[in-house]
Amino acid sequence: MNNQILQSDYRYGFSKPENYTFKSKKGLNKKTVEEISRHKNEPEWMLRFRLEALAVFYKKQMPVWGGDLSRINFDDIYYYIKPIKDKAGSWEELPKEIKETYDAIGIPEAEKKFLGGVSAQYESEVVYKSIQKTLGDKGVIFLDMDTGLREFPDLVREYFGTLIPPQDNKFSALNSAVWSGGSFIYVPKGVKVELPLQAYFRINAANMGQFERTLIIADEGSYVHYVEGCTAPVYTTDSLHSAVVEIFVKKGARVRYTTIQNWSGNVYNLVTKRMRVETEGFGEWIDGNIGSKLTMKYPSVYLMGKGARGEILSVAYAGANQHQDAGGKAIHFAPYTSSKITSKSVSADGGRTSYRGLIQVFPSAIKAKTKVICDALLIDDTSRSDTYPTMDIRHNDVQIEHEATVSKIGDEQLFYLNSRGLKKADAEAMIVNGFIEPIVKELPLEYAVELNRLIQLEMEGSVG
Amino acid sequence: MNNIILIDSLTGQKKFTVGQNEKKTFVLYLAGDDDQTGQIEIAIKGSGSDAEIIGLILGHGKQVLRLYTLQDHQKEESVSDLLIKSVLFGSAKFFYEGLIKIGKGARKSNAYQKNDNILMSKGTWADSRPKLEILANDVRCTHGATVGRLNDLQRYYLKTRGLSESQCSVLMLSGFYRDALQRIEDENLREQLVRDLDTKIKRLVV
Repeated sequence: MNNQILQSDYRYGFSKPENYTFKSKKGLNKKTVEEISRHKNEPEWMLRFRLEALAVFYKKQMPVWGGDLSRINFDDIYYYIKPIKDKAGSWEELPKEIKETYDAIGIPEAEKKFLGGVSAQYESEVVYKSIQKTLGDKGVIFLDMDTGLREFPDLVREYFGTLIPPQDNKFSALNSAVWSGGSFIYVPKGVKVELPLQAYFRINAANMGQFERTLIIADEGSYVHYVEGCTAPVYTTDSLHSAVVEIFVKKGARVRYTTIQNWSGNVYNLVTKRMRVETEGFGEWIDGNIGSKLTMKYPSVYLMGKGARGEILSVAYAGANQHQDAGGKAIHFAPYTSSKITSKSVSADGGRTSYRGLIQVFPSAIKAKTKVICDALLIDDTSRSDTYPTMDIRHNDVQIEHEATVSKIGDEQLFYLNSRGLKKADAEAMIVNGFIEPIVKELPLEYAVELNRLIQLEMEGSVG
Repeated sequence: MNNIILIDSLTGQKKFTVGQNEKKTFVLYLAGDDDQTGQIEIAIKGSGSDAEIIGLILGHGKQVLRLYTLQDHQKEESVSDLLIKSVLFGSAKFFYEGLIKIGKGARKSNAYQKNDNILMSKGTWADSRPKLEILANDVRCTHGATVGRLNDLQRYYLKTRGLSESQCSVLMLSGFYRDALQRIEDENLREQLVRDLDTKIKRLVV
């Protein structure tokens, strides 16, 4: 029902005139990859890495599970677009359209000034960067991936592609071949970054692929919270977003990675995210998926050191013509490791949500503990919800729990709210917001407010 | 009328149907010495029907057990409840995949699925995949799975009451199965399974 209303409710459904200094030809081949690398003046090893990844990409089969990927046309995509000649040093120097875009998304003034740094990705390259001096003084590196590679080639080379090699899957191979942009973060030993580091990604050109690559290294005893938001305007043609995020959590360190993705309904969002957690470290993924045509995303924690912890909070909302295939993976290699996965999904208006997860405990992981909770809410008759968890336990000294429920909005709850004078749509939105509350409360305030607003908006469209 | 269907070996695909206002209980009892592989598919075809699936699995030695279950709800107001309990000794492996499907026509249905596994030694391996596919909205579905070993605190308590290590294990495992066995309404069958399981557990607990 109400497709029209939903479509028009997409808040970021505008596009600015395209203004680029360089745009690669459509399609993917060796030449495109060489061109991207040349344009970025990359070291020889990175070009070789890209070309090897391209070969892997050609060899790998498309995944046959999950969502329908048959309509992706790899030859109809721009793989690299460079928006402006040089990076702007400050907000004022940014070109007008880009500034307008960000204002429309609503990066608040206060946030610009106070947050640790804002690095926003408009198309493929990070165009605006302002890192406060305090970060630099502590030795924290927060750069876009391209600059990171230029300025810290040895550090990048040591970690890049070691946690998610191109061979991992077809889309990690694609990203490895044509990546551009993304964030590079290094937090030195014992340094705690108090304010969240933020980045914003946006696709503006039709048929544009967005292949950002993020690498975060949290050295021993450090802490960092990275926040990423993604939006894309509406186009009639399908777009592809395929990112790779690698995070290294060293001994006793803690990394929290928060992402709220609100792609428009024509984006294929196929992302590989992985965290490697060492002894006594703590890695957290907070993952919100709204929008997109198809999302396939399973952030994972590899618990490598004794006592390492991993936590994944995932919330997904699928409306008309959307399929959210999301979840999480926890792989226990070491003793006394623990993990927790909490997933909340809402399907409305014929949308489909699937939880897909993996818990794997190897014989070396004695006394491992893990808990998985999946709750799904079905708003109407035409929607669908699936749960596909896998638990692969190869040892007896463990404690593993999995729980899932699927239900609709309770009639009693609705009746009660109606009797208090709330309209059906408001009541349903309120119940849905309550349902995802455990995850929303973990978000930074402005993201929490935005997520609640978005759900409300979607709900208004879905129940007329 | 309550029908009890006892399945004590798995071979290929076994298909069952539950019709209108019918109640059927399926008791799956795998406590032998052989490897087992098979599928049990239950089509819940009538409205107001009720299917109960109770699985009691005891694996030992190098046994490999592979079980697939399907609770396929096709009609409205139907109920299904599955409980599979396994205890694995030696280097036994148990692979379980269970799917609850609620079709578009199966509104107001309730489906439950639970798989509990106790691993008695290091070499055992449990792989559990409880899945849900829900296409109707006015439903209630839950599933759960646990994997672990016998509770140390409970064991400690029993030991303070004077039980030996192996007596504790026998008592706790017997209790673990009991909560599934209690669901079997046929008293003769229930008692027979209790006796048989207890004997086998005693033999395996050293």
